[in-house]
Amino acid sequence: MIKRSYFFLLFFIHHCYAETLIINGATQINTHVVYQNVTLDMSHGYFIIAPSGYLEIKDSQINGTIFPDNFYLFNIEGGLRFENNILHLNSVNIIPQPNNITNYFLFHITRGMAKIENNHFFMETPYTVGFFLTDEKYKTTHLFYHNIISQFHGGIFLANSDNTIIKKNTFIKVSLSNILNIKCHNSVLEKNKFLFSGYHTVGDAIDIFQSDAVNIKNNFINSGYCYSIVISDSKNLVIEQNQILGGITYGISIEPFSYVYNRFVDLFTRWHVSLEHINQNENIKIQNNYLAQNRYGITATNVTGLTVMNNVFIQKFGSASDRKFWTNNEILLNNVTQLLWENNKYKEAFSQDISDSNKDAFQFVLFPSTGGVQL
Amino acid sequence: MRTSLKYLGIFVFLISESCFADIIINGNQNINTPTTYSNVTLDMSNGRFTVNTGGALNIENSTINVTISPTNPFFTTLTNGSLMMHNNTVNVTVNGIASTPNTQSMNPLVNIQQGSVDLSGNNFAVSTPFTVSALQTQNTTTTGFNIVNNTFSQFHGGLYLNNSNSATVTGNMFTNVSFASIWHSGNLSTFNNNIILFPGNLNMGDAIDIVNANADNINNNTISSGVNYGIFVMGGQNISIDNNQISDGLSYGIFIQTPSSLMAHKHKYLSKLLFKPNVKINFISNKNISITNNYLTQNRYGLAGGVVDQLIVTGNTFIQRFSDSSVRQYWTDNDILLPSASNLIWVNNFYKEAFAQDMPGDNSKSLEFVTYPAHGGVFIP
Repeated sequence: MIKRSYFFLLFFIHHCYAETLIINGATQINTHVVYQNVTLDMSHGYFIIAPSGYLEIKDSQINGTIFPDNFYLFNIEGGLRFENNILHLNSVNIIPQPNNITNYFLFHITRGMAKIENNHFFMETPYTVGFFLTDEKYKTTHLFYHNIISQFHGGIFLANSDNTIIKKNTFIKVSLSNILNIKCHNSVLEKNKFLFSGYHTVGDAIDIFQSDAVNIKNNFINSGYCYSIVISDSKNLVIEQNQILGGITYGISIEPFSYVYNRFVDLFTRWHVSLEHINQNENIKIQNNYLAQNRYGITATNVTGLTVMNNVFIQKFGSASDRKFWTNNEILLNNVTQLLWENNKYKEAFSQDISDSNKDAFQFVLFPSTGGVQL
Repeated sequence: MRTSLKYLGIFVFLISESCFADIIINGNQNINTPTTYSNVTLDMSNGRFTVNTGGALNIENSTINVTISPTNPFFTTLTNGSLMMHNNTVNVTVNGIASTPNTQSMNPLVNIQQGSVDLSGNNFAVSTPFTVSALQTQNTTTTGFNIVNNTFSQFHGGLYLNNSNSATVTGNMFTNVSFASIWHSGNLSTFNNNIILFPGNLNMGDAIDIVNANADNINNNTISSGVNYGIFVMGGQNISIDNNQISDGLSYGIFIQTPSSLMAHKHKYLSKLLFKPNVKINFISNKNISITNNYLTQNRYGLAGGVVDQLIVTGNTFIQRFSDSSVRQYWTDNDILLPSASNLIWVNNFYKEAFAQDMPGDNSKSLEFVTYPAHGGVFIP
């Protein structure tokens, strides 16, 4: 009886008072290594996971610091499983660069795969360190499920990644792009929440470039400081049942690659992506989305096969002519062929001005394929 | 060999029957024993179910075409027993039922006197707005309803859970539901991860009404373009409202009403829902209501209330837009918005000016978060 109690007590102590492990300098992982229910002090150390290595960190607290001479806290060529952790990160002597891509990332993966589930990541210093970056050389596959990613300077940046699932994550005040895919295939971006994407500066919630078969479904994007969803040189995309609210500019923008290249030129240079491009998007479906109180709704340039169906647009304009102009697809859609525009509706947003009238805000009207909305 | 072929033939016949069978329900069908419909089309243009004690109605993977009319006033009534519906499509048309935008529907699709309910993965839609409500309990206490991952479109009243305890309502989508999308009185219930678009259907109705309820959790819901309040509490104790996104509402995102018959009478549709002639309702007081980590975006107003004790408001973000500084300060001043809140804890709440929607609109005040103070209103220089 006493022995059993002793074991119970020992177990209890281990779970409640996790051991603190100090990671000093570059720590190489060559085999399968598991840290569970510990506190990892990574204020002066980082992991390098070799191709033969597999690092699992579960149920732990990680306190990390990024310095100018170590670019990543986790540099991965093998495998990573990161589950049920709280990671608190700061940076020292790294100058915040709100408008530029950072060279510093929490996770950097050259090859292998990462499974990142049910974690809370918080970056103390904005505009210094990004969250997750792949290289483009090897094809990779990853899972991001149910994480909170807060205040990083760039979220999940994937190049040449197939079958990646990004689901039920919450991005809060992530500057630059929150999710950026280039040359990715069969990706699922579903039920994520993006709050204040771009955080005071530039940055979209979702950027999909030169990719194929991406499903962007059921995401919630609120108060973006730049575009909410940007598509460029991509094909076979479905954008459905998303709620895009309160953005400073367009909710959804489909663009030629030449339009976006300069915005991410440092990142593209790193990935050896040149400005050589086809400048064409193909087979894109935008359906059952709810776009409310963004300054503009949807714009598209250079698309073959664009389906826009059953979407609701809620905007507010000072005059009928402004409304008509900014909802006129002859202005918003350029060089779009095979357009199917059906059953899209417009509602004037409720006024936020106390004394203002809402007389136009109680009806849905048809958002026509040409000519703009007339109330 | 011949016998095998014969059995194969019978098997194929059974499969085809179960996959494509069209069953006509005529008149009122009493369900007094366990009854299952699976992979069928139910024609209920003139038929309905009444589930009684000992009965269990199970419908799965089916299409149900219901017509609600004066002679066929509901789809299912539970006098007792249980209703289980999984992965069905329920198309509701009306015949001879007047649209009554400003009065409560007298025709709930599912009417529950007592019994148990398990609805999962169904799509419910009514063709004519302001006619039929989705589900309604009565005064007898019910327990343990499970309503998850369904869609409800254009009903005149969504889920009215009156005297309902330990209900789980998660992952549902309500679109253009007039009157209340979710109404609850009872205790220990959970309303999580629901999406509610256009509550009130541009006419009348809140997204979530909590009236005389204890220990409810209202977490992680998305409420957009409501025509009245986003979340309304009147007589709530030990209520947690956490991590909801409430946007584009015509009025307050969250409102805590002083619990009294007088106040309820003033509420346009609560008065119609709650009060029958000569009925007096005893409201419980508002106490220990926690409003945390919510995003209230571009509603005309944010949070306000009447008499409430132990109100905890922490970690919320309010995004609104005002034409001038004095108006902003007035409409964010808790001395005006929460004048009767006692034991108020107001910590770590932030305000951001919404981005402009008009074309030459100024966003110079829209880039920063500022502290939303407990008193005196938000000031942006």
